Amino acid sequence: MNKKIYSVSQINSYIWGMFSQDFYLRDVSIKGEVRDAKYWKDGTIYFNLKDDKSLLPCVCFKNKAQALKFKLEDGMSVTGHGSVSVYKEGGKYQFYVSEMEKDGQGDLYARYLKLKAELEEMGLFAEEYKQKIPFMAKKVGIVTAPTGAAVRDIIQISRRRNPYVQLILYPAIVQGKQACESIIRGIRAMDAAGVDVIIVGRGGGSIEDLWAFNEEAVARAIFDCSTPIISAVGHETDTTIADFAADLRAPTPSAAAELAVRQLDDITGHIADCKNRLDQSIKSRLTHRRLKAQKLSESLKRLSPQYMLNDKRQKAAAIESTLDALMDKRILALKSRLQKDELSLKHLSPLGLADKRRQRSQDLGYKLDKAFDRHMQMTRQRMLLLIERYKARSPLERLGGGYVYASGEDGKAVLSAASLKTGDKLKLRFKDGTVSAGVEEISCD
Amino acid sequence: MSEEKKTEEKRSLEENFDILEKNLKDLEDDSLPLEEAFALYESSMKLLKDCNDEIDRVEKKVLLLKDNGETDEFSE
Repeated sequence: MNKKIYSVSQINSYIWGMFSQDFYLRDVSIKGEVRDAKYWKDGTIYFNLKDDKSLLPCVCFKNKAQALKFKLEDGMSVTGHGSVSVYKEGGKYQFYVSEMEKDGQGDLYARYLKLKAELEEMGLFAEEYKQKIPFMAKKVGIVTAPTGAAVRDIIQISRRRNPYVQLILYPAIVQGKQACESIIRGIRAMDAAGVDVIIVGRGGGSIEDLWAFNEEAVARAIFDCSTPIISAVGHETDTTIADFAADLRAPTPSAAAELAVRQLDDITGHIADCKNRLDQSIKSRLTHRRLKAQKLSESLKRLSPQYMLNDKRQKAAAIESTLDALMDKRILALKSRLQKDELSLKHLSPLGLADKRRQRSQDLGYKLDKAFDRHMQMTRQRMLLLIERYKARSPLERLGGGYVYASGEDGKAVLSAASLKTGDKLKLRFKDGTVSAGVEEISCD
Repeated sequence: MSEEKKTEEKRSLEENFDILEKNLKDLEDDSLPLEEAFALYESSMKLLKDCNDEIDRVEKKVLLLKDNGETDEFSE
């Protein structure tokens, strides 16, 4: 015999594998009575389910436990849904619960319906008794647990909408045996404290958790309260007797805060809007009147004698200028016609003939002038030739080479020495000039 | 709040808004004589001021109400 030896974890893993393969154990519903329920800090619930013969260890992990609508208590009869598997480290099998229902839940629901019908019959829910939620509450009372999501949501949303609203909290017990009395005390204290509106409620939970809000005494306290009450119990799907008795039902605590606390911006915006419209309306009214007055004053001016006189004057001036223009045009037309006539006349008159003759004589005169000029030119030419010829014949041409022309004082030529006396003056003409000389000695041949 | 307190001077914000709306409607009607329009405008402006005053703009702490009616500051 050479049997194989296994380790503990090997065996436990093997058994775990067998459980895992089992089709039935993977999804099973088991009914039993709760024993030794323990809530761990992380939210996991450990408990046992038993019947009259046997016990089954159970575990409900945090994520599943959160969805449970009730708290497990010993002796409670429940039906769990989940899988049966092995806890390898502990070597035990257990029921892993993913969903659970409480048996006998139907009883509470029946009680709820019965009470609702009774109170409705008594008129506790009647529309005529509902009080109006104030337009802008300045003091808001809150009756709920001082810890948890509900109070946090209400405070947060109220602050966001209007931080100037005074919130007053009555820390109530909202679950368990003392809840009913605590809620009633809270409502009464808040009514006495003189707030504008009261929010009564709590966060979500099972029908047992919310049960205080289904008690007749709480419904009556809500009904008797002289301050308007907004109920805010659980989630949107949870409807309690308190919701029907309240003046207004909010689906959640957050919604209650929104209903109780008006958005400050809306109010200030509304005030600003009213002011704008007021200003605008009075302004437009004034503008309208002013325009009307202006129109009237213009109409009046048009009717004044001064205006009418001016108007007539203006019209007269216009007529005058039109007349002037017409006259000018007429005169111009006449003038141009006259000029035309004059031209035609000129062609026909004797004056025209004289003009022709004058023209001819002018032409002749011109030709004569030309002929004369030519003649004069030729004459001048001849003259110049003659002058040249005369120049060649000049006595001066005979001077030079020691020969001079001597003349006496009378300017006559001296023809002999004998005609002269001592002391006589002589004028000697050289080719290039004249010299005066005196006679000193005479010797005749 | 008792009914006696709601005298002429102490109207609620919503009542004031209602009056303002009505005044505006009257003002927007052209047949209203100018003097009356002015009077209405002035009284409306006063109402607007009241509306603004009504919003008590002081940030409030959450109070805790005790059974004997006393209040404490609530620490979240």
